Amino acid sequence: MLQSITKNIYWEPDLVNNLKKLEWITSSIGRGIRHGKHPSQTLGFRAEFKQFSQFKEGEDARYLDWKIYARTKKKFVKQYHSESATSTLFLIDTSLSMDFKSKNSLPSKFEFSLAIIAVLAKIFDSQKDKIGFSHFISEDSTHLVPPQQNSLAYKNLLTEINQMYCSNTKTCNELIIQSLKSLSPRTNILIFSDFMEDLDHLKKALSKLSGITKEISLIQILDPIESSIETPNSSVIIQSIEDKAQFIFDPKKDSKSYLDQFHSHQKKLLKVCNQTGSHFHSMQSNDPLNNGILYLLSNCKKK
Amino acid sequence: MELLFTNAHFLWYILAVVPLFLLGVSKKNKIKKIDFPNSFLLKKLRLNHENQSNKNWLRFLLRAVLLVSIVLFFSQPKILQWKSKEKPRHIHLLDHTASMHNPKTLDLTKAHLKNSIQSDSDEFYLFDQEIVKIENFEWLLANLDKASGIFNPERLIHFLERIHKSAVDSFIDTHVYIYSDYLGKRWHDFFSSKSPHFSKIHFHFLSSQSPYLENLKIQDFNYQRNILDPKKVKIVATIKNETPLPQQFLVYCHIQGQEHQNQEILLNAYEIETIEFTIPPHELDFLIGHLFLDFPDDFPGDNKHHFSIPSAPKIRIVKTPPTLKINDLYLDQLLNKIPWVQLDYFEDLKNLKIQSNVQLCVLHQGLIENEIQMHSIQSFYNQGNHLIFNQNLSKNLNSKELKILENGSFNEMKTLSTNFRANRFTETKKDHPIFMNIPDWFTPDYYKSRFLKWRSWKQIDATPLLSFKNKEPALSLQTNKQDGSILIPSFEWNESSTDWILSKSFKNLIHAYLLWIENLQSKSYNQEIQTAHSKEIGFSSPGIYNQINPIAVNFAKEESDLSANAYERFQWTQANKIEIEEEVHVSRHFPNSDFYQAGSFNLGKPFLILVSILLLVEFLLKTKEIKNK
Repeated sequence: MLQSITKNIYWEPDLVNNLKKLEWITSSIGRGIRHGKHPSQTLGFRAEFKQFSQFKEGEDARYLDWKIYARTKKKFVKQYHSESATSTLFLIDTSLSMDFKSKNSLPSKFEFSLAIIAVLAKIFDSQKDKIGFSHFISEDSTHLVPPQQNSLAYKNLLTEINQMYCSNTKTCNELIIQSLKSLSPRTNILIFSDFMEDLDHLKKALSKLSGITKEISLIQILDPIESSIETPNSSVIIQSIEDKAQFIFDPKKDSKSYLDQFHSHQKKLLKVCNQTGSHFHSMQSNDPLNNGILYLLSNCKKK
Repeated sequence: MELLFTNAHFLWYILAVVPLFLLGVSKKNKIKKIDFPNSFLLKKLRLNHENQSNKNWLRFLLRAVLLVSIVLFFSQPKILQWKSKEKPRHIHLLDHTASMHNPKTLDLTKAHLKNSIQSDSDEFYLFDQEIVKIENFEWLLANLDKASGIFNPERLIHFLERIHKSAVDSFIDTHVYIYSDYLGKRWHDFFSSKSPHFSKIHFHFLSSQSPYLENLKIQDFNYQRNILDPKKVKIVATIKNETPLPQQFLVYCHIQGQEHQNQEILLNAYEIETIEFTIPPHELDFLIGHLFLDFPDDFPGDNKHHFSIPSAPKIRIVKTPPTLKINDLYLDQLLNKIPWVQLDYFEDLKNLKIQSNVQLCVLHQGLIENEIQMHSIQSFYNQGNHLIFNQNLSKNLNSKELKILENGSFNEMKTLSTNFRANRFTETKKDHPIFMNIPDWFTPDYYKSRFLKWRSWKQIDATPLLSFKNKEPALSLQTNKQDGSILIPSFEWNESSTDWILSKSFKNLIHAYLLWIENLQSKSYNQEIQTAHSKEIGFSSPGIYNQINPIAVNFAKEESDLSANAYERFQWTQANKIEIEEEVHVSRHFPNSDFYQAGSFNLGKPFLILVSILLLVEFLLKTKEIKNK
């Protein structure tokens, strides 16, 4: 099923084998009862070292750091982060603009998003994280599958995203606003979109979202043409597949303006992310999937 | 509803849209189209190209409509017979002036009215000095014969314009019928006024001959030169009366509108009266004779009746230079002296039939000097006019020659002309070459002998006009209309004979010639002419003679304006192209729409408004474009 999702996407065969080794670690502190890969809100004595604290009477003597005691004759206790399972919600932009591919050999932005989601879902599933997703199924209704973790959750997700298609003109900020109601705190939010929309509105939506959870990642998927606007030398009519608007584009005159505009938009988007405490990742649909995944995970670890 | 264009040829300019259209299509096809995910950034670029392609087409459409509108504005379209919900308005204007006051006119008026009344809602007006609306049709019929006023053309024009305006404003078809005899100089003023509406009015011409005068015929009304006294012209009138007139009446002649030349005589019934008076020779050029019958006041119908001299020759005598051949310059000079025909001689022969009903032109081959002349002659001939070449050939032309005459080439015509000459040589046994440009043989004896031999009456240039075989005219001339003209172009003229008008020969020539015409018209040969003029030889005077049988008109007491004679009326109608109905039975159907087309809606103005609006839109778009840049 994963392969059907990731058709047209270049990915190296060892990706699946390595999936087990890959992990997504959220920066926020999980509250899950179940053990997972994410730092728990509570400190514990397993997993990663967090700090030393002075031994108090009544504490379990097993956790005394005898080495320090031997050196300093002072009693310290080693404290570790407690690892817990977390929830992840994929917000998927299903607007028509996502269904675009500039070349037939390339995946559309939507296909590329789904491939990444599928891979990440596998990772989360292996981490025993809850996974859910939300997207617009029409102009006025969303479909939200709340995060859940069971043996069928991952399969269900794959089945669902296999049936997803782009059909609306909704923006990402509208999807965020729609999904706010059903969000539980500290849910890991991964938003897949091209974010070609009004960033002020997006900022407002993200601000609201950040009130609920701090773990927000914006994963921007672009088609190569959007970042380079490569057109023939003569004037062309550019038609937006989203709203069918037509523009006569003169490459000599308008290319530079477009690129300036594009970079300015990207900068502003990054700024919005910073202001709202969100993580921003930008990828292009012609990137190899491995690289994309690795890029995401490496960025994730940097945090 | 019918759409007409005043300047239809302007419509060709609409084709200018086609290249614009093709240009637009090629330009549109030239631009490639590529897809793009969304328009968010493109919109931010302010390319202003949003739907530019469609906008361009709209812009093209706007310009095309603008162009077409401009073209249509100049072509002045008009919608005819705009269907109005209102019933059409029929306005009958009846002449109530004195000239209408006679039983015949009354009967005619009633007959015309009967045929023209469309509905109960028809409006009736009597006009003389004032225009009075008559509500009661019975009263109108009863009072029609009380006509006594004087025609006031300004008043009528003003009234017609008011009707026209009302028709245009109300969109009601308005049909105007004017019943009149159209006599009098004031009608000339009426017709010569430049009101554009006159062509839309239906004119009913009412002949107002008195029933008594219908039987009164001027059988022989001619004038003759007094040979003994060249300064006198004898007018001879033979009045034939088929029904006895109730009373005696007065006859007087009026020549050229000059009062001092009037003579009044009393003429009893069945009496033949000869009137004689003097005309200075130079006035012969402008001789227009009228015979007036002045009846007593209690005479039924008009108490004055007027005849123009039936065979009154309207003579134009033109001095020609002493050249043997007529050249173009000479023709110009010749024709410049004919004020009322204004011919360019051969050039205008083709128009003669229309302008003055010339039915006969006497020519001979010597005049065919160039192709222009030939074409003119051919055109003249093809219009059904008669050409006389000489006494033999005019009768004996075979079908081939006739064809040449109809549409032969110049060379063929020349050959034909040469043949004529050859034939003539044959006739004259080649010992007397008859060339008008070789006057050596121009001797009275020759003519005398020729005439006696061939029993032909000869023209001054030795071209025989007629020949007679078995006492029948060689050329029978069909005159369809009573009024016609005969041109006799001539070459020869002796400059020293400046008094040729007065010469015995010339006077006799004219007289004989006119009689000849009369005989042609009556298709009978007058032996007297032959004998009387067998001695007329050696003329040396050229001339163009015109003969007119004018239309008989009557004159009312109050409207006896002598300048408003029949000929003038004829000229007005010709000039104004007004069709005057002379038939009593008026058709109810007027195919030529001689009435107001109230619905005739000129679309010129709406198109002008459209052009203005489109120009404004174009200007605004352009301004916006410049601002955006």
